Order: sequence, then C-alpha cells, then structure tokens
Amino acid sequence: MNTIPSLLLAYLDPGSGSFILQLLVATLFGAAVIVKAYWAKIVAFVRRDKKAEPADPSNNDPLNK
Amino acid sequence: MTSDVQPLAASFRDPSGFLFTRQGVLYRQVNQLYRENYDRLMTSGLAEKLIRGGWLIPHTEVDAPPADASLAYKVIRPELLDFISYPYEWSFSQLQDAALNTLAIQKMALESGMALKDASAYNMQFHHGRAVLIDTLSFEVYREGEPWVAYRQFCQHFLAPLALMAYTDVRLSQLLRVYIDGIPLDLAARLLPGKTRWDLGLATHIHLHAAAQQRYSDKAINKNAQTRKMGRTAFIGLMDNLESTVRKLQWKPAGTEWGDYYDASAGHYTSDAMQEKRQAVSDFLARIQPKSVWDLGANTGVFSRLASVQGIPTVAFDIDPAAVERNYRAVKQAKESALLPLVLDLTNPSPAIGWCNRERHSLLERGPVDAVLALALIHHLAISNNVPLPRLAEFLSQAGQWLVIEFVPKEDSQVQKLLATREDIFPDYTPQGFETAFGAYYMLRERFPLKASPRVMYLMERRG
Repeated sequence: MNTIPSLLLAYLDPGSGSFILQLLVATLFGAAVIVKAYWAKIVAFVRRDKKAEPADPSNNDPLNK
Repeated sequence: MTSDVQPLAASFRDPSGFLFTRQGVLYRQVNQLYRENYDRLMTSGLAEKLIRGGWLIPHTEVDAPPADASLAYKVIRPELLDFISYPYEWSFSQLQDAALNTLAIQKMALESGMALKDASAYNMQFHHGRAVLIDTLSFEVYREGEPWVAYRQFCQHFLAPLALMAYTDVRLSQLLRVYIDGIPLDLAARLLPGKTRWDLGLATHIHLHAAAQQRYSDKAINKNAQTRKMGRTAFIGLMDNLESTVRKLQWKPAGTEWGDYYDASAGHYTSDAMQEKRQAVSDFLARIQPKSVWDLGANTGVFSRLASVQGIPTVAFDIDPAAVERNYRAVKQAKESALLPLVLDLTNPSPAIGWCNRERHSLLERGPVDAVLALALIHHLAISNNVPLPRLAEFLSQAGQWLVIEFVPKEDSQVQKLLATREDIFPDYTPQGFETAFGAYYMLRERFPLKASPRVMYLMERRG
C-alpha cells in the first residue's frame, strides 16, 4: 500500500498561489511559534524566581521544597 | 450495486470513500486507497481521542457488504445527526465555532502524526449543540515538509465569510449559498474595508492570498522540488495564526428590529398573553408527543425550548441573524443539546444546490418533522409577502404532520403596523378565511383563543 503516492489522496487542488503563499508566510508564523515558546519559558522562569523569594509552605513547586 | 443501495449525492469528490444507504441505513465505505490513513487514525488513538472529546462523529466498523466491493477496504456506520444544516444557515458564532473546531482537530491530528486533507465547512455539523467533524475520512498521514493542502479551502469556507460578516455585513454569509466551495478570495478582498489590510492575519490569508492566487493563476509549480518545503514548526505557526485571526473576529447582535421582540418594552405582548401562549404550546406538545420539531420564526427560541428541554430534537429557524446569534449563544452557555438555531428566510427557504442540484438539500427535503410551530408568523408571510392562505397551508403541511399555529387577526397591533403603509388587499385574512384555507390541508384538533390578546392558537393534524 505504501506504493500509492500521497498525491492520490490530495483530491483538493491546493492552488498554485495558495501553495506559494503558504511557503512564504508559514516560516514567519513558525518563527513566531518559537519566539512565543521562548517567551513563555522566560516568563515562567521569572515567575518561578519571584515565587521562590517568599517561602510559601503550601507551594507544591518542587523547587521550593 | 443492488437497487436498494444508494450512494449519497454529496459524497463523490474524495476517492477515499463515500457514504451510501442500504435499506435506509447510512454507511460509509472506506476504500483501499485510504487504508494506510484509516488504520493510522484508528490505531494511533486519534479517533478515540477525538470521538471521546466530542470533536468527531462516532462510528462503528460493521460487517455490512460494501456498496462497491472492487474498491472497498472497510464499511463503517456513523452515528446519525438529528438534522443536517449548512454554513449559509449558521449565525456568526456558529460558523466561527465550526472554524475553530476544525483548527483544534487539526492540532490534535498533528500530535498523532496526521493532518486534515480538507477543511470544508460542510464537513462540520452541529450535533448535540456542538460543531463536530462528520467526515471520518478527512485525515491523512502528515508528511513533514508538505504545506497544508486545505489552506485555500479553509480560507474560502471559513475565514472569508467570517471576515465579511464581522467587517462588512453579517448578511454576506449568504454568499456561501452562491459559492458552494466558499467565497472566492478576490471577491472577499474587494468587499472588505481597507482597514483589514492592517490586520496581519486578514492581510495575509485574504488580501495577499487573493493577490498570490491571481499572480500564479496560470502557472504550474513543481510541488515536489526540494526547495518547496514547509517544516512542522512552520505548519504549526500557520495553524496558530489562522486560529488567532479567526478568534479575533467579532460580531455583536445589536440594533436589529427583532432582537428585542420579547423584551417587555416591545409592548404588543402582555405577559399574560405570553403566559397563555406558553401554556397552549406546552399542552399541545404534551398531547402530540413529537419526536422532532421545527419552530418557524422562532426568534430567540423561547417557544422552541418548550420542546427541546424535553429532549425533542428541535430546530429554531429565524430570518434575523441577531436572534439566531443570541439563541446559539444561549444554547452554548447552557450546553443545550436538543436545540439547533438556524438562519432561514421562509419566503425563500434554502434551495437544493450543488452538482445536479443534489449536493445540499432544500429545506423541505430535510423534513418532514413530526410537528411544526408557526407562532406569530402568519402575518409576516400572508401580509408582508402576499402569500395566499391556502398556499401557506400547503407549504406548512409539507413540512410536518402536526401544526401548532397562531392566527394573528387584522385588529392586532402587529398586523395594523404592517397594513399602515400599504393597501389592504387581503379580504380573506379573517379567522373564517384562515380556518377554511387550512381546513383543506389539516384537520382542526384544538382551538385556543388567548384571553389577553385577539390572537387564537390552533393545533392541527395533516389530512391523509
């Protein structure tokens, strides 16, 4: 069954313009995903830092124990 | 194919399989061509996850013979919907939820190494109050590097109509009735206000997209070239951006003439008359115990709920997109599962459209139901639209076996308002004329004059 090329299933015409545009813009949107992920990490790191200062015995954060 | 096997007229584009009925039971044939994808969908746990979460219509694999054995891999039996509705019958939030659910399904599919190979609005249906994917064969194994084949379809079926409804006019959803494969992006780009060019998502997915389509309209591209690759992160980024673009679009139901119809300030309905009317409709429903109801001219669904709260599948049709929007938001908030609000102009109900006029069904082809409610409706059709009472009776009798109808006489303030600006050319619009016209199609079962209003409630059963 692996001999059937995937194009057989792509029964929709993606359209040349739509195809090209995706390739152009998706890289930028993908970069945004990476930036967002790093940003989330930075925010989480800063928050964790803040939380660590006033020791809260009820905090379940393993770093606080 | 034996004569009791009927392939569905709308199910022909995708060679992965098709829907058919045998002796009235609906099946989906999965073709050998789709085998690898179907097996991945089922064994990866994706199908189970989507079905359990209410994203995908449940199905069972059955032993039933296929409709076309030469192509068949498997036969599955999908769970049935109460009612098939179409995107041009949805309010803004309904189309938006269908779009967001499509993208949510796409994300879950990616986590299981699959992707949607189409993004048709017609593949989404409202089932128990939620927009679910009904095409089990929409998934394909994701191949890293390949762009999203359904990007154009998603923009045409979802993003363009939503942007037009939000930025230009909510009534432009009706363009979907003309363009069965979604609104052409060049048309959407022309109809949208210039300020949408400053929105990154709309600028990209509609304006630039339309320009790219025009520029490359007659150019073939080599889709397999090594340089034409779109990595997984880029793929996810595209989905993320589509999602935030769709989510940002807003439309608020305000300033329409019927949105506040039931508000106390509307004046023409005393709360006593309202209470009496509720009681009459409840009593009639208790007597006939319908299994399905259409409420025609339902406004925000106050009376539809007398049926739907009992678990009776009920469709609440109204011409006003604001009323339907409010109704849908209420359905969503209260997680109501039996009520489906839809936009419909009864003077021009949804026709049969698409290939051979058989892909999307007309309103009447999707009936009949057990009971039709026609409350505070008759004067709009008989007087505003000049429909003679016998023709109105004929139409309603085609829609359902039982009819709960409110006769609104000429002395009623609402009818007076309609007649204020025009000649009264309706000598037969009287209680007697009404009973005679409807008597030709129905047997009158109950008659209930409201005490606090000149209106009369009737319960009728279709003849024959």
